[in-house]
Amino acid sequence: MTTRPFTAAMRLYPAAYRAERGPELSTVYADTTAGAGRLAAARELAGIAGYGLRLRTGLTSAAPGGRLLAAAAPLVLAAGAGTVLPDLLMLALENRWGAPVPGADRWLFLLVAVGQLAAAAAGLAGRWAAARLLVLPVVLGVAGLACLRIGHVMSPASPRFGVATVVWLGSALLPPLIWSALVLAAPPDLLPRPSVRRVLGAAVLAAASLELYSEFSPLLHSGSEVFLLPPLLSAALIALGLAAASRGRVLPVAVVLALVPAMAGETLGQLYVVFGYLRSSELVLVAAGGLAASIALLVRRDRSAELPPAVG
Amino acid sequence: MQEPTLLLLTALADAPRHGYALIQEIAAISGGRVRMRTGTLYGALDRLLQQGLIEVDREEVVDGRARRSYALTGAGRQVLAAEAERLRAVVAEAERRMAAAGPKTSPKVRGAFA
Repeated sequence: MTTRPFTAAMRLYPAAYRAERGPELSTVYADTTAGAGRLAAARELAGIAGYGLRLRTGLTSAAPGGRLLAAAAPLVLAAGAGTVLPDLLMLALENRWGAPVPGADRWLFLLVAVGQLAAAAAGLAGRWAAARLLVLPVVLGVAGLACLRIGHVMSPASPRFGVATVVWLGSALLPPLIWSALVLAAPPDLLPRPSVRRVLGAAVLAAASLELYSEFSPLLHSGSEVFLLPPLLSAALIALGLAAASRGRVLPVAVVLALVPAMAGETLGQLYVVFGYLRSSELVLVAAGGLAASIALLVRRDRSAELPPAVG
Repeated sequence: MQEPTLLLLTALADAPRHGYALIQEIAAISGGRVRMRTGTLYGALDRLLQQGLIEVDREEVVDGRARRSYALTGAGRQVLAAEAERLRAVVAEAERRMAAAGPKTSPKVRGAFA
């Protein structure tokens, strides 16, 4: 028996797959949801819809892109945790120093940061279902931040709304959004088991991410003369990732992919500082476009690279 | 080998099974710990089909409902046997070391890293 939501979910599948496997999926869906509650049925449906999107985008566990995302998932979580840790620390320190009560945006930052940290803890412990569920508060936090900030820039008291404002918004909102997309896009049947070696590697990457791209980075925030280091460093890392992808090496590409959310935010933030005040916002757009194109090329190269057909 | 793959191959080791039977069998094998969702199951099935570790055993329509059964291939059986042997070796080594250490170790181990 097919329901309207199931039929809608099946529309996400390529027509050929839908024609061949649709009746079979319908039978399994009917069996698994028989007597189940609404929430269980909704989760089942979300999984079916998600697999349709994977088939459409070529990010299944059978495809190189999906295998890369699965391999990168623990690193993505770790890098996210590394960059949001300062948000938590800043909030705690401000309260201790008797600073004014934080505004709503600060609490939303806290929601995003706690969500990312909790997801990292869950994922690295092998609790992938919980890790993916914890993306929800992150997305809600980002949506709240977007509403607040757009409301702020649209108010009469704010400066003229321009490209620089969009870049300012993007630098705050893009990192958790890209992070969420990467976590959810990883195919669930190929997510790695927890291991001591993986946790240690993730801890190193979290520290590197904090050092390179966070608000607390002593390297990149020590003076105005180093403002271009994040974009240059990002460009160098992406070039290394491209070189590794062309040789079919997964781990270096996964590391670069894990750093992409932080790269996007920090690079846009720095470029906004440099160019936003000079009213050369077009340069910022060009730079952002270049970064996006590089990332797209990275994924494309990786898809075409010969990845080992590991039994997952 | 990831756990969903191991559970799926194990569920097919004794007989061909269709999608819903696989979900039930995986829950039983894992003691109810793993409840594989339909989308995840079909992602894994498509990958294993592509890798030649499983094959479609038969397709039928029962009471107007489409069923497709899957079975292990020779290559799938070999991969599963190799993984079982690897796990057996790890378990044997763990037991040997625990026995060598004596009974002083704490029994309150809540999780394990694979």
